[in-house]
Amino acid sequence: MRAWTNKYLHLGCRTTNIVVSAHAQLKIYLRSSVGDLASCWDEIDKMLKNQFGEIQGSFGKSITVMVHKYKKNKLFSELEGYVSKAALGFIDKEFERSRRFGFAKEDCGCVQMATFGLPCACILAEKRKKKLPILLDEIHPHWRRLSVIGQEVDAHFSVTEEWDAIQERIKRAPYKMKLFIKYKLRELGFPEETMLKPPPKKVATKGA
Amino acid sequence: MLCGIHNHDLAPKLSGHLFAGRLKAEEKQRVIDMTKSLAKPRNILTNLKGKNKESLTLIKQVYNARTRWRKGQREDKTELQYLITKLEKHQYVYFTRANSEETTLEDLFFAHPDSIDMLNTFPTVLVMDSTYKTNTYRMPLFEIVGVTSTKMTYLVAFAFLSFERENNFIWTLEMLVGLLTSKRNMPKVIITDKDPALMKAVAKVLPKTDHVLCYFHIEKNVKSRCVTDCRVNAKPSKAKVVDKDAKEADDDKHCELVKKIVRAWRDVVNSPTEDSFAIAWLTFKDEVGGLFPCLLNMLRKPFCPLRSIL
Repeated sequence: MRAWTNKYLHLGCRTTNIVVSAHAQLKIYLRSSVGDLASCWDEIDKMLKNQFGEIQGSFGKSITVMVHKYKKNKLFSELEGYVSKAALGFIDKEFERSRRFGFAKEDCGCVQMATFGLPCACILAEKRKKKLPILLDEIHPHWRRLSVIGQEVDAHFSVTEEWDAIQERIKRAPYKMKLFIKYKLRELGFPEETMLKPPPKKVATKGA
Repeated sequence: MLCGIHNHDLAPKLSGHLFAGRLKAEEKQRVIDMTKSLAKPRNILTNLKGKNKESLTLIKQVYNARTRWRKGQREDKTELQYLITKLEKHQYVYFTRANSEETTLEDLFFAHPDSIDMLNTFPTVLVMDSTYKTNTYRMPLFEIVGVTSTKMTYLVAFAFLSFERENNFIWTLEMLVGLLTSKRNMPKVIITDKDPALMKAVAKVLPKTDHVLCYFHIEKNVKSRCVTDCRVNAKPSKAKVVDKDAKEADDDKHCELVKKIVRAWRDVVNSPTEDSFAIAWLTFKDEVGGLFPCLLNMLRKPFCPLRSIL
């Protein structure tokens, strides 16, 4: 099966274990399995805020902290501070492999290139021979992003057209239709006044 | 006090008097803060006494302050009104879906604004799964998770679903695609477990994305199938009086067999090239297929694209 998964750029994730660990993390925050949706959200929000802090911290570490081992190596000279430490670790592992076996192009397999988007053993062996550093372009952009990019926003965003159309429609429409439009607009304008009810509670499993 | 005469002497200590034990404004705030960070009432009391040596507060006052705060929190809003107010206040992106009469909530999808930025930065791999037992309504919570460049996990979005049907998953995934700012930013690989409804939904909403199944789940299935379906003696009840020793030996044999099958399966899974996969598959087929065709049939299904080889 690896033959197939190795063709995909899965960045090292072959199982759903990371989402399972996220579930576990969440449940520690939730503490109880019978809270309502709002209290669930309260806990999820707390968790998210802590998590973003941690991730920002990890970016900061990758940018500022230099690992001694990579400092001396010509291969990594272009990368440090621009590529995450995790990626450097993967490259280093592959580099060890290439040094031990001295890969030629044919029997490398280029798995690292396909699944991680990082240079694989054959490329590294080549580089070592010629004493060239790894270039930033040879690394998948995923590993080079050490900050969060803001959202792209459409500069020409406007709702005036719809706005005018609604007012026109209210003028023209019969009274019953006006009521309906008002109701719909109210839904949009005051979302927190929702009349939605949560689903009916299921029967208790214990003590029933 | 009656007729100007005290009915009791002056107490030597004021402890237990409501007025003496009342919480000051600053202390009330501290009780609330500590309650928010899940401190137990007894620990809160210790903290109060540590800050103020003369404090005469009793545990009851701490409990009262907590309850008053909790009640005041939601004012007189219903659960969902409160939830939506909070979502609006914290600038979440959320979508709801109600049943046909628009009275009962069916699905709720929400994502933190920072999560959305993160999703647009690292959209390459997404992993999805649902978890249960998170709320009283028994709605499964569907989580979508991504990976950052530093190999850390971030949570993209959550959805409370009323059912785990294809329709619900399609809706959720469409909302997720809506969060991506541009078309070239589409996720490259999606990893899920072998839930047929979810698999279909992914294929429909994100047809260009590669879809990988969790190999751990498949192996678990193979193992459990071995245990239930592949008894060495298919009908042990034939010989009515089964010798205890014989049974134990039988169990041992069965254990061995399961191990053998799983080992063969791992070879299949870990085969690095298509050729070695074919060889490993043949071995697996020889070992398992002859004895238990049912297991083989089960495994054949998920690998339809590979059928030519099997």
